This record gives sequence, C-alpha cells and structure tokens, in this order.
Amino acid sequence: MDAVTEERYLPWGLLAPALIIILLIGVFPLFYNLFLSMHFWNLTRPELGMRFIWFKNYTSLFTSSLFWEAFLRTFVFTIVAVGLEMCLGFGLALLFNRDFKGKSIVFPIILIPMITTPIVVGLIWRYMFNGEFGFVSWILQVVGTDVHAVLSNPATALPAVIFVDVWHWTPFVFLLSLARLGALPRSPYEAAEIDGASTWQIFKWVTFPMMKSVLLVALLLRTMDAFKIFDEIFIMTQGGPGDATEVLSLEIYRQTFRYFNMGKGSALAIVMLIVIIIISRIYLKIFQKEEAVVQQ
Amino acid sequence: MRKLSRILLFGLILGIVFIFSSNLMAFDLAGASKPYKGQTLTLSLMAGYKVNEVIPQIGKEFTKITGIELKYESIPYSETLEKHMIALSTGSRTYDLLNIDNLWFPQYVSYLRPLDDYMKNPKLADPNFDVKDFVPEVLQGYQWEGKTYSFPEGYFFPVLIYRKDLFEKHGLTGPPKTYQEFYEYAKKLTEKEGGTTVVYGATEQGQRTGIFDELCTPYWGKGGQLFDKKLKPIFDNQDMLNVLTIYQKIYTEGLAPAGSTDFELGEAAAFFAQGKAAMMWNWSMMGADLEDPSKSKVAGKLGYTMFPKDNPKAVHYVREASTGLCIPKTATNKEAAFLFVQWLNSKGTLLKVEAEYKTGHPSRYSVMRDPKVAKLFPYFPLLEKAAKDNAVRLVPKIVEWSQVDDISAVYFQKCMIGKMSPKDAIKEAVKGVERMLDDKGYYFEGKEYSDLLTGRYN
Amino acid sequence: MVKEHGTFYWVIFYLVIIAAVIFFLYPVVYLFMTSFKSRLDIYVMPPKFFFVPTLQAWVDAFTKKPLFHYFFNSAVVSFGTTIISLVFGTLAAYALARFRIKGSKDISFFILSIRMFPPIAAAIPIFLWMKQLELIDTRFGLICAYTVFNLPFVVWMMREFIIAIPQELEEAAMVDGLTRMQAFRRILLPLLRPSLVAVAIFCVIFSWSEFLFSFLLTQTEAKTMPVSISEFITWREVTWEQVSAAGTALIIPVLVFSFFVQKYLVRGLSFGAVKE
Repeated sequence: MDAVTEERYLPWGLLAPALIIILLIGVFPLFYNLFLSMHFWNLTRPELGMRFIWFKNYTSLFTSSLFWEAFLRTFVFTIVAVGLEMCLGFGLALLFNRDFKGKSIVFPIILIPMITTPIVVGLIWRYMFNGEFGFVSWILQVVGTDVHAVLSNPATALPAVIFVDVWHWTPFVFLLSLARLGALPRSPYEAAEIDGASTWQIFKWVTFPMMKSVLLVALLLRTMDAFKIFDEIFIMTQGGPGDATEVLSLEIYRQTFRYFNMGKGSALAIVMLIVIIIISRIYLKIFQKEEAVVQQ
Repeated sequence: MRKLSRILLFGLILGIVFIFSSNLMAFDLAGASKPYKGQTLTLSLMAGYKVNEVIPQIGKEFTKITGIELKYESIPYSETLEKHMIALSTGSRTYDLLNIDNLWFPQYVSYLRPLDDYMKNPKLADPNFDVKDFVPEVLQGYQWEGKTYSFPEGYFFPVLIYRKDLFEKHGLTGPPKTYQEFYEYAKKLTEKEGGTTVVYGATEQGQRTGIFDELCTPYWGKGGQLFDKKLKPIFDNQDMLNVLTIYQKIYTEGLAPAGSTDFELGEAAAFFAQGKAAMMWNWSMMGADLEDPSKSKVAGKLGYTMFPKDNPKAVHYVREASTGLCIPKTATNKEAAFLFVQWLNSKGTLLKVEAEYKTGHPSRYSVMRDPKVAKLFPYFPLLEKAAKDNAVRLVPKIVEWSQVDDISAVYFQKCMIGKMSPKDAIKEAVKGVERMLDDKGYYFEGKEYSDLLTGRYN
Repeated sequence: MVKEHGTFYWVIFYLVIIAAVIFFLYPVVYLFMTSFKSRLDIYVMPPKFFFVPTLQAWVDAFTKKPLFHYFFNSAVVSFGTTIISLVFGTLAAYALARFRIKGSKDISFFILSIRMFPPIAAAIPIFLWMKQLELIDTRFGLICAYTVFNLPFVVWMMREFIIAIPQELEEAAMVDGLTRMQAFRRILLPLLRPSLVAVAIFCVIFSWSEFLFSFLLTQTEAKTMPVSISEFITWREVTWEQVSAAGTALIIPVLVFSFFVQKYLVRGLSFGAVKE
C-alpha cells in the first residue's frame, strides 16, 4: 500500500468500527424518535394503532404551560447546579494545587461522590433528607429552622435537588481542574514573579487564561449531563412534590411510561436534543476560538 | 364377537365411572399438568406485596407436583407498568404471567388472554375451584366485557385505623362518624410538648400517587361522583370543596406531620407504627405490618373501622384494590400458566398463604371465615362486612385512570400545602382531566359510558 | 515562587480542607454506618451515632436476593463495554486527530451528539432492536447498549489527548522507517497510557452505575446491581438498613478500584501535560 492510498483509506478503516456501532445502535433510536414524534401511538390503546398526525405532538407541547414550566425548571436547575459546581470545583482545585500534609489522603476522599452510583446518591440523600429520621432534618431542627422534610416541601425541593447534584459532581470539575493545574508550564509564573505581580494578578493573567479550555470542557460535559438528569431525581422525589422538581427528562418519563403517549414523549425528546445541541454548539464555538487564541 | 362387545361395554362403564369419579374426586393436578412437564414459566412480580414474597416459596410445591419450573422477576411497584407495557407492546414472548394491580388492569387488557375457555376445559379446570367464593367486586376487577382474565390473590381497601389507647386518654368513646368529626378528633388528639408536636392527630398521604385516593373516600362517602355518564368530570362541587377544605386544614394547622406531603401508604404506616399519630386513613392490609410487634410499637393497641361517611345512604365509597396474575396473549406456555394461576388461587393454597405467611389480605370468603385465619387480624370482619354492604367499588374502567389521578394530584397537592385555594385546585383539576379525556376522543358524538363507570349512590 | 505563609493562613487552610472532607465524605460514611444498624435504630430522631452494630441487614440483603449473581453481571458488563469502547474509540479518535478527513469536525460532532441524546428517549427503540436480535436479558445486549453511550465519550476525550501530543514524535519515527500503525503502537500508545486509564475509569464508573437500560433490558438473568438496589424500595417500606448494605456493597468495588488508579486520573486528565 502506498502512502497516498493509506492516507486516504486508513482513517476510514480506523473509524469504521466505532461508526458502525454508533450508526447501528445509536442512530436508529434517533430516527425512530423523529418518526414517532409525528405519530399518535398509545401503548395502552393498541387497537387505535399508530397514526400519522404531522406536528400535532409538538404544537400540543408548545401550548402546554406545564411543558414551559418544566423547561424553565430544567434551565434553572442546570445553570445553578453547574455554576456552583464550576466555582466550587475550580476553587477547591486552586486550594489543592500545592503540597500540604495529608494531601494524598484527602484527594481520593474528595473524589468519592463522583464515583458513587447515581441511584445510591439518590438513596443516600433521600435518607438524609427524611423528615422523620433524616440527618439533615435533624441538623435543621438543631439550628432552629422550622423546615423539616426538605424534599417534601415544594419551596425547598428544587434547591435540595440542586444541592445533591452539586455534592455529586463538584469533584468532577475539581478533578479536571486539578489535573490541568498540575500540568501547567512553569515559565509564565516565573516571568510574572520577576515582574512582581500579586497573587490575584497571577491568577487573572496567567492561571485563568491557561485553564480556560479545560474549564470549558468541564462546563460542556456537565451542562449536557445536568440537562438530562434523571436517576437522582427519580429516586429522590419522582418529580414531586407536585411538580416542584419535574425536569424535562422526568416529563419524558411521565409521557412515555406513565401515560404511554409514545408520540408526545418522542417529541419532547427531540426538543430536548435540539436544545442540548444548540447549547453545545455555542460552547464549541467559544472553545475553538479559545484554542485559536492559545495557539497563536 | 360377543366377548369383544362385552369388553367394550365394560370399558365404557369403566370410562364413565372414571370420568364421574374424577369430577367428584379432588382435581388431579399432577395428571392435568403431565403434557406441560418440564416447561418453565417466567413470572413478573411486583415487589412490596406480601403475597409476592410468598409465591416464590410456595411455588416450590407446585413445581414438585407438576414438574413445571418457575422463574421470577421482581419489579418495584412504581416501575411495573412501564416495564410490562414495553414488553407487551413490542410483542416480547418472555413472560408467561404478569402480576397486575387491578387499578391498571384496563390498560393491559388488550394484551391479555381471557381464561374462560380454560375454565371450561375439563382437562385443565379444577371442578372444585368455586369462583363464587371470591368477593364479587374483587373478581370484577379482572373482568372485561364479560370475560375473566385472572383471579385476585389479595383484597384490600382503605379503612380508618386508630389508636384505642389514645382515644381513651382523650375521652373519645368511638371512632368519628363524619369527615368533619374526623377533623375535630384530629384536633383533640394532637399532643404538644413545648413547641413540638409529639403525637399528630392524623396522617395524610400527600404523595402524587396517593392523594387522590385519599380524597375520594370522604368524597364518595358524601355521595359524590367523579364522572357523569358522558365521562365528563363533575367533581367541581360543594362536596369536594368541603372535603378538600378539611384536608387542607388538617395539614396547614399541623394536625398531620409536615412530611405528609411525601407520604404514601408505606411511609404513613411507618410513621404510625412509631406511635406518632392517632388516626390514619390507610389500606387494610397494612394492618399485617402494624400488628407485627417486631416492626410496630402500636401492635395490639389499634382499632379498625370503615372510614367515616357523611351520607349514611352512600354505598360504594371505598376503592377496592387487589393484585392478580394474568396471562399475556404472547405467552409461550399458556396452559401451564393457567394451571399455576388456578393452583395458586385455589381454596387450599390461598388458605395456606394466609395461615402460614400472614399476608393479611384474603380474597376468598372461605379463607377469611376459616377459624385458623379469622383470629389472625382484628380487621378481617371488616373485609366481609364491606363486601356485604357493597361498600367497595372499582375505579372507572378507562385506561386513562392513572392519568386522571396524576393530573388532579398536582393541584390537590398545591392546595394541601396552602399554595392554592381548594376552589381553584378543584377547578384546575377538573379542567385538566376534561382536556385530557377530550384529547383522547372520549367526547365525540356525546357517547355514553355507563358500562365503564362503577359505583352508584342510592 | 514559594511564599511563606503565617500560622493563621494554615489554620484557615486546614479548616477549609476539613470542611470539604466532611462535606464530601460524611454522606457515604453515614450510608456505611446505617448498614450496620438494626431497624429500630434507624427510625429514631435524633439519629443515633452510637449503637450496637449488627450484620443482620447484610445477611438479609444477600439472602433475599441473589446479589452475588448481579455483582458478577455488573462486573462482566462494565469491563466488556469498557474494553470495546476503548479499543474502537481510540482508533477512531486517532483517525480524527491525525488525518485530514473531509468533514472531520462534523463527524466528531455527530459522534458527540449521540451522547447528548436523553437515554430515556432511546429506551423503546433500543428495546425493539434488542428484541429483534434476541439480546433481551443477556449481558451482551447490555454491553452493546452501554457501548453506544461510552464510545462517543472515549472518542471525544481521546481525540483531545492525542491532539495535545505533538505529532513530530510519530513523524520522526516514521522517517526512521516505522509504518503509521507501528508509530501509533510504539510511540503514541505508551504516551497515552495514563489517559487511557483515566478514560477507562470513567467508562467503568458509568457502566457500573447505569440504571435505566439495565432496568428495561434485563429480566432475571442479566440484571445488574443498581437495578436490584432499586427493588428494596417498595411502597410498603424502604428497608433502609438493607438498601444501605446493598448500596455499600455496590460502591465499595469502584471506590477501591479508583483508589488504586487515582494517580492515573490526575496524570491522564492533564491534557497538554507532555507539551513541555
């Protein structure tokens, strides 16, 4: 095989297995959902069959106030939770970016939540938040608030769920940031030191610009996952009380597996996918710009 | 030639005698199951019902007699419906028997195989099975357009469970008779020490899957109806307003624990078992756990009675619930599955389940009356009484029932915690239910649905 | 560079660190403790911190359900999907990072967008597929389903890592007479090892923890641990002590595993680490 043909065909050969798997098992659901989203199909009424109804599923979604509320709630959840995770995780990483006694013990401990199974995370906190014998409720009582069952109160349920997500995923941001911090080149720091820059100036002009790309990666991954959060909320509140913690993926669950409106559930999934794609497109644009700047 | 005819005659007589005697004698399960020996039945059971923990143990006996193997899958209650529906709608052949809550039965029915011809088939049917022995309302939960799809293993409905000792302490002589009285009792029974409440007057089940059921009991007890004949929701009325107002007051005035918004039957019972509440609306079979001293501090201190109804003439005012095993159309081993259902629900097996495993929800008259069983739990007489008085009813037999329940619950919950007035909550719930049923095409041509609605008001 | 800090600085520093440790560790310790409580010690307020430990919950949880079997399933599925995703994913990432392919960016984004798809929406179609191929309730079926979600992650991460390694190293080797694939194997792969381990850890964690697909695609044979844990929640009661025992059993292997490979996590995720 000569070099030119190799250049041309080898990459496709390398890509082939991954693409085939993704096309076979990954893309089919996508198109099937697109197909379903334009049909009426209720599993509990098989006698009605599958009927093509154009965009009726979408219009009925967009005219429902419950959908917009869930939509807004998902955004609030994602922005607040991911925002807190980024700040705390990056802050903690800055704190850890030095040698101190006990670092080798403390470091793996902080990673524990990230490694813990979402189902178990949901269970732990459902237990801790329990109004009758939960640890958090006890603390709240001791402190003297009159809030008991945090998850049962519509005013506190969403903040509580956000809190759990922050607990669960801050370590992820922390890990990514710390890994990059440790690998930053020394020379810019030495130069800044010679110029007599203050700690804050060093952070602002040296550390932060070099960290931007990894922070964006963390932000992108976290946003994508937070937007789809399901397991933890499903275990903790099932979207309740009322619809206080009903985010979009729970709404899909309700449409598909409670009401068995397959069409409407699929339409919701498509809408959600489009939103995620738009968000990540924006991120990637910023990301590529950053990379271009760094490379110059 | 004569010899031959004599032999034939003898054979004929013997045959007739054999058929008759086999009809009179106990059903020969081993014989009936011979063609199906070696088959494996896959059962999908809901976790949480006591009887479903018993089935895998008692099922070993069935295997011993018949040589039919049993395989079990256990699914959390809240996720049963989705898992079954996916399997059924995609034509999966894996399950031979599905454990179904009668609440959801209408959603399953187009995928299920009726049992009637099996019940008439002398090769399969047990002549001593005695269908009439089941509480009729409970059996109806598994009937659709004149066909029977299963037999119920359990039977339960909401009752009022109360602490006799606390009633005595506060000078209350008997259980409350109206819902208003229930509220007044709750007020009297709430005990405070300093700023904190040590005993709550009542519990409430405010979880999204629980609240509508709990509200329905006093509402039906006033003679209220949920739907008219055309299936339009009609509960936007004074009766529901009264019920919801009291329900809200019990919560906002602190007569029920703050965590009630997150309670369903299990959580409420666990709270009650700690001795922290005086009265509870809950399903009758919870008594099995409440009377177990290893799990409950209040065992032996409890009174059970029908939930108060405001209108003495109201019948059909508590919702009956049960579980049963049904055979999907797509099942591989249908006959063997039928034999198992029949064996499990026979008088002998159900009696054994109740007597040895104390499940607390007998569905056969003969079982609840059996002297061995009758003394197990103090609420068993209620089961028979409710059945005799026609007090139990089924939910409307529409596949959208869970949706009706779910839509209304969101608004009722908001009302419970005081975020919405009872009036608005009811209005929104009715509007939501009507819109949903309209979307499903129920109101075309003003059709009537009397056959789908159960329960009446005399 | 090293500045001298006063005692006060270190006191504050350690207080913050201790607070962070308590915050992140305590809930898991609490779960662990609960698994040794008896039922009566659980339903009390204030929560008991000193109690007579009992193994009852562990015995109950493991006798009630064939947890060892589910454990085995979880392990097989996790490692199976991780290996497949790593091999195919790294090859694809190499192609995307090192070759000029038309529409390379679109392909990467397309692969990534599969991961954005809400898994819950893929449930029905994947079930249909698996039923057609008779893969329901098999470990292989689960491996396939998880690979679809792991593969995009591997491709995407590995592409970043490979780009971060200067191409000159391989080019020099190729000038010395190695073929492209030899250069990939002998030069690039050893450099990528920490990153591969780090990505593998994430794959294992994801597959070990996955709930929804395992719940829908398995019945009795191939069921994994997370699904069996959710079964301890019934409407009658949540047997908290048994849930805690099963939950502890579920997370201990990944915790131990991650503890031993933690140094790879930092080294592997440091992106442009080799640039210097």
